[in-house]
Amino acid sequence: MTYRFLEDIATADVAFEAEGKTLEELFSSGAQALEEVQVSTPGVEERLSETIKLESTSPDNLLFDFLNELVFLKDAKQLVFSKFNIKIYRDKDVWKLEAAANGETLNPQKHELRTDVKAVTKHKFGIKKTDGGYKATVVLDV
Amino acid sequence: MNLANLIKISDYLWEIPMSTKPGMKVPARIFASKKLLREMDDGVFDQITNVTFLPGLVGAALAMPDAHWGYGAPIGAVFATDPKAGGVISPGAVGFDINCGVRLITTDLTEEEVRPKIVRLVDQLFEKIPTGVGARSFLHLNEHEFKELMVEGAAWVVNKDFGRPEDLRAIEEGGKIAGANPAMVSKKALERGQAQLGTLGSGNHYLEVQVIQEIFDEEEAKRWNLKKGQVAVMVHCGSRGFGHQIATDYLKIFEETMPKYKIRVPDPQLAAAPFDSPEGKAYFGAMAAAANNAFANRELITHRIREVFAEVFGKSDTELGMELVYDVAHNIVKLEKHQLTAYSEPQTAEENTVSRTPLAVRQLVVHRKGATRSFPGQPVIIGGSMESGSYLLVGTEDALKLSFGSTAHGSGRTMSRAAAKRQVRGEKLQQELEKRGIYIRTTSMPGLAEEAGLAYKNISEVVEVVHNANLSKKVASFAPIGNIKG
Repeated sequence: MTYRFLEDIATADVAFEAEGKTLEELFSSGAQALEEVQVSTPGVEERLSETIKLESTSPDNLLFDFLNELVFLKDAKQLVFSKFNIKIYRDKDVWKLEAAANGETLNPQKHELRTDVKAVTKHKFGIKKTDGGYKATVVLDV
Repeated sequence: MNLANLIKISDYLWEIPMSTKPGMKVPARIFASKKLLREMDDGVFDQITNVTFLPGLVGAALAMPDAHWGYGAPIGAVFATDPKAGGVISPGAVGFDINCGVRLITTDLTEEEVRPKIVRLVDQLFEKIPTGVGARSFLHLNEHEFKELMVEGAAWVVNKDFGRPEDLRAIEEGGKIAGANPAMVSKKALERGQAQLGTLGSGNHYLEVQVIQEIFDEEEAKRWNLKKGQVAVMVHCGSRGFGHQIATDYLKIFEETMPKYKIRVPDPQLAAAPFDSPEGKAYFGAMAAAANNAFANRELITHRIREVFAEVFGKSDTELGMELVYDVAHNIVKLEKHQLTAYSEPQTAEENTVSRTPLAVRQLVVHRKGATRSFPGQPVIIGGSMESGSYLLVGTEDALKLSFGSTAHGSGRTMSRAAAKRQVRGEKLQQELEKRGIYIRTTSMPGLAEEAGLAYKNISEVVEVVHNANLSKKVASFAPIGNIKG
């Protein structure tokens, strides 16, 4: 699971590049990076599991919707996650995701809070195939 | 930015002619000094010229002196479309944080009275106003109440005794944009919003205790009882997750339905639909709900501020003054009637002399993204970084003619968050600022480092431009002495 933050893309916001050998690994890396923007994830224990089920027209849109779902859960339920078990498959023309996101409720006394993410943007957004699998660039509005 | 492609109209106004890029339907104009223009990123040039591709634009697409690149339209963009001419509405030209805005509250306290208690004051503000990632609302509204609030805005908060009735006169649109439609708001947005009412965000949002440093216009300052050395409070935040979700929802819808209207833009983030289309109307209804939520939010936060001041200084908040000077939005799209003069119609540089024959009054869809309304006599608040301080200005008649009654909103970033964090350590910055007389509490040290003053443009330069360009005139400057951030 790998990601790195990109310094030169976004002035006012946060950008990262995530990688994975499989789509599942890529999505997991991306999710981990997003969570890391908001909170120090080593401090997030796996106390609960949230099921996420999504479908979309392409892997790119699926990743977009998945990351936005994590932003939604952070605000609506104050949840942050440190581990993701993801399954991605194609059903005719529809790309589907089923995931278990493990984490806990945000606790300012316990967790090291960082920057709040407002949304995932489409700026330079996209999944690219690489020799080692896949990579994706994501810019977050913070 | 390379000035070679621009035509100088005046020391503070530059034009990018329509011939610059195939597809431009109107020119673009940038309000800036030569220095600020040179320092402006190329993204502003690319994005403001992209805006001119949109159908139904009136006059030019404008960029303010604090402009920097954003999503679709640059931050600092102002433009208006005419619905009767197929004019569009574009969520990317409003921003994710719908009605991110700022308000200014004055007190009858002086710096001498507040300094000895600044630590307790800021600590109490930090405790009483939920701030930062995942901050939870202290109110629990059910769905019905929340939908009422979407329509009523700040008035809802005041009616529940969480604000003063006279506050409403000091908020843009009375704190209530007409046309809010809760039915156009997704369930997801509702859930994000209910959890976050009355919370201060993160990033560049703040609540700042300030001292009036300088008065530039004695007469205007008298209107709002401003005196040098007086303590004031400025609040900068928006519609929280509610607005962010609405923006995300509609950016997706617009991208998918835009081909139907045969609108083509170079950047999908500038997706647009005719204002008079089902999608256009739906977005406006949802946007207004988000805007009203933000007005309500800032009113709720003000209520808490008044409570904290009362507690710390042992007097009622009315005895302490604590009056709202004004509340302005700086990410919003409004329906406004504008009387166009020949000046606001497309012009070439040769036609600099304008006849001021008034043309028809038209209702326009005015987009302001990182830009503030600046109507004649209206207070305008331009916020700086947490180290530099802020300004109060007043709107002008000229702004109506030059910029659809608009002006800049802040200083704008020049350095990425990552670069700022490499140069500055949050804890060290907090200590340095305390030595300089600014006491800050934050939920995030890295977040604090990202907001260091060195990451921002010089606000005085931005303010000088809007003052000299007659978009808004300086009234007073404010220096920070305390701050809470997420």
